[in-house]
Amino acid sequence: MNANFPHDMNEELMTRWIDGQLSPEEQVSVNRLLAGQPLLGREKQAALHLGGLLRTHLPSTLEPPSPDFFTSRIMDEIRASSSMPVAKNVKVPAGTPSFWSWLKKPWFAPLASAAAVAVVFAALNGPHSNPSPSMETARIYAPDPNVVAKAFYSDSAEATVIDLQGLQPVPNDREIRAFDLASSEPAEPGQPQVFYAASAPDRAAVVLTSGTGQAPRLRELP
Amino acid sequence: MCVFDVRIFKMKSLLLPLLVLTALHARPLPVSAQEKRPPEPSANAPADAQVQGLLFFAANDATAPAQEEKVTVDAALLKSMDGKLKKVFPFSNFHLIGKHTQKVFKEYESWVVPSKDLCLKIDSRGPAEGGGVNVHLQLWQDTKVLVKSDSVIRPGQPIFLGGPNWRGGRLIFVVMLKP
Repeated sequence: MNANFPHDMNEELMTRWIDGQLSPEEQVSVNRLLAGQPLLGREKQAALHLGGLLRTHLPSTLEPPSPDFFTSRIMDEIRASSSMPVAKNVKVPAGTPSFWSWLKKPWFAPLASAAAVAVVFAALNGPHSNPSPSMETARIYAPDPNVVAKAFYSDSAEATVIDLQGLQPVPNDREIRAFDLASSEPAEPGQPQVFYAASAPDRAAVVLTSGTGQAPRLRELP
Repeated sequence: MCVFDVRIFKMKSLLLPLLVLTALHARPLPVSAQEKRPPEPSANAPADAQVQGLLFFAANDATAPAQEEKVTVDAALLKSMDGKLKKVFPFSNFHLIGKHTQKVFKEYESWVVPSKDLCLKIDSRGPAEGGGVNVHLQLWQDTKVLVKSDSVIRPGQPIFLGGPNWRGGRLIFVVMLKP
């Protein structure tokens, strides 16, 4: 239940009252207005408690591991949703509330925002109902706009194919330095990770260092 | 409705999406994942899978490029992979030039490095329904990420990443579950 608020106070003043940002003069004025309305004090405490909970349990900013990839997936979902066929020539029975009348309902805004959030997160994180290998393809994103990335499942090869076209060719005079390595144990982010030669498991061959979102740095050991 | 009611109403309308978000993400986490930071790396860090990364040079020329290091792999596997690659990429020869067998850790990023020029970062997203492992992949060439992908690596079903051209052929990165 919400308390009635004195009409002498505007929203800006009320917000600053809840946030504890009134000047001493304003505070005296507000205290006078609120005298005899203890319910409002409890509402303020409830709002402060809620704000504290949100600040405690939710990070002020949340950066996904690959923001560009995350954005591209959301855009893919939006494109997929907007390309769905729309029913035409559907007759609406008389008396059925119109879409616009729904918009005016007080419960529509929170329900719609919750539904939108649920749809996006279910699409991105939820289990997919097509476990058939031939049906599923990789979700891909190429940061370079000149690169055309295509993913498909090849039934004949029984393989997922991620084909990248438009990449800069490797210069012909460059030698590709390749390795034959065995598994290494993990390292803390930013700490070097040592890979051993497959032919001699006690011989450290390559050291890799990488930070979150940073390019790997590879160093060959003599 | 007075202004105070409006503000409370707005706050409550924000609560509903937050509750939905919380519910969607309220999956039980393993005990180790609930800690603020992963445990110290150890020689027995838990892994979701073991993968093999193979770097091929696809070309119509039968001559393999000169390599400082001889790469060895099971002959049957090589023959099987050669057949699969020929069904996708229009080249007659697939020369194996690099290999790296690597565990995919549960709580750490894993790197598959068959070459200094092309390497693959793998983040495990846990076992996949129907077998295999869900992964987030990033294919890197030097300091540049070529592609990012959410994929599933299933037993017997490799992922082929068609990379840059080189010397009239093409570099192809293959990642597969190690049997």
